[in-house]
Amino acid sequence: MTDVAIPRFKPGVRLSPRSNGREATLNAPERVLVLDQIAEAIVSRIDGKSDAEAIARELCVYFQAPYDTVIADVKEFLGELAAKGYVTL
Amino acid sequence: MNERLLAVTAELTHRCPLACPYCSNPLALARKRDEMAGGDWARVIREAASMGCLHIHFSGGEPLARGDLDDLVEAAAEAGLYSNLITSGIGLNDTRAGQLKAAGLDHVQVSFQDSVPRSNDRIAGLKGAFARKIEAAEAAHAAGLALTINAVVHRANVEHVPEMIDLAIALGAERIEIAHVQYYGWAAENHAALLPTRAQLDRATQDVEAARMAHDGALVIDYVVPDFHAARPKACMGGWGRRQMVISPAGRALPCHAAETIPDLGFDDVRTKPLAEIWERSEAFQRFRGTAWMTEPCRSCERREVDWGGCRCQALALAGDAGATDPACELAPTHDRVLALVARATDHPSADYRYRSFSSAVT
Repeated sequence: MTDVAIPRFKPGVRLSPRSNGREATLNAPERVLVLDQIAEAIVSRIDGKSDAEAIARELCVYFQAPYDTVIADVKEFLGELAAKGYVTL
Repeated sequence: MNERLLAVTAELTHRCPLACPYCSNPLALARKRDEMAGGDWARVIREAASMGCLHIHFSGGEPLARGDLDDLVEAAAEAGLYSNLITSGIGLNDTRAGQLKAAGLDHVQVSFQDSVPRSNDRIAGLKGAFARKIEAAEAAHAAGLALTINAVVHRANVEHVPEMIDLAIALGAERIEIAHVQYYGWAAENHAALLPTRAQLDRATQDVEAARMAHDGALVIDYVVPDFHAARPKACMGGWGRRQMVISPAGRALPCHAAETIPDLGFDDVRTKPLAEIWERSEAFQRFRGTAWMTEPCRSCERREVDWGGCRCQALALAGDAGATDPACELAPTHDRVLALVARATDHPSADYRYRSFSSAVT
């Protein structure tokens, strides 16, 4: 995938944010993906408008991490989500 | 404990406009007067969410037959649960789909009995059902609900797997669930009319594999094979009391749809005890949980935490002992009973169904 690919949730895919001791999950028909803190930070920025680069730039600030590292992680994770059928790119 | 409730199947009612001869409901169907009230369902939904449950499946019978379905969908959405409606499609039109979407419903599964209208209606036991299912699926898709087509396959329709996949794509579904009949309840009454031949099964499996290659990325195809033709049993419910709970129309908490067929097992009423207590401590959920209850060949089997000994209800029905190894396993001492059933259904197939109904229910 490229830096300008825009991730979009497939129909029926919904983030349940962390709450009351329950972990964050990405829910789809008959499937659930448990999200750690970094994964939740990425998924919560999928809005159908932001591309991978925009998401990575925000996360650089959020995690105080270098851009090159963050964009690589973001692209790898979004690629996984696409392969598993949660998002289109 | 290692177990965690992740999904509740809420069987809101046994009332249904269809009469499918493989229905997973028990032979003794609950009447409307036996059904749990909406307020109790809403409380149970909140309790499940507070236990960390993530998904709720509204099922039946036909859940649209409940006048308070929208309230329950709303209760699930407020509790943060991902909600799924499992429906025949009868009663789902643009208006109802819009209302359910507004109430917070995430996903709809519409069943099809066949890709051929006349055959669909014969299997469903309802004239005109096919056309109404098409309307329902289109309404769900138009309302922006995620759509899955459910196709239960058996001897009369298993050769139409490619057409059913094409139908799902034409209807805008993201997913199709192709499941071979599981032989409990009504299906066990009809196995001589339903069991596919080995050749039919192999062909269907090839069809699914070809379609997965052809539609990769466009359609998720989930496929459930019939364990009568398999070497090892299925992990029923992902393991007894491990991830899932079924709640019957009358409010009984069950480890699986068919658990009430096990005669000496006591089931708790969700109106009389907290759901967490039932999940953690009730006799019904503890009896076959984990691996300690197992006998040989399960006890020392390397797959004991893969298939969890298979299905307890099938063990009872075919081996006469709910604590035995599932006879579907070729290592089971009673496996020849499965082979005999398959041989009988193949050699002496029946063309007639005993349709699901309230009037012919036995108790």
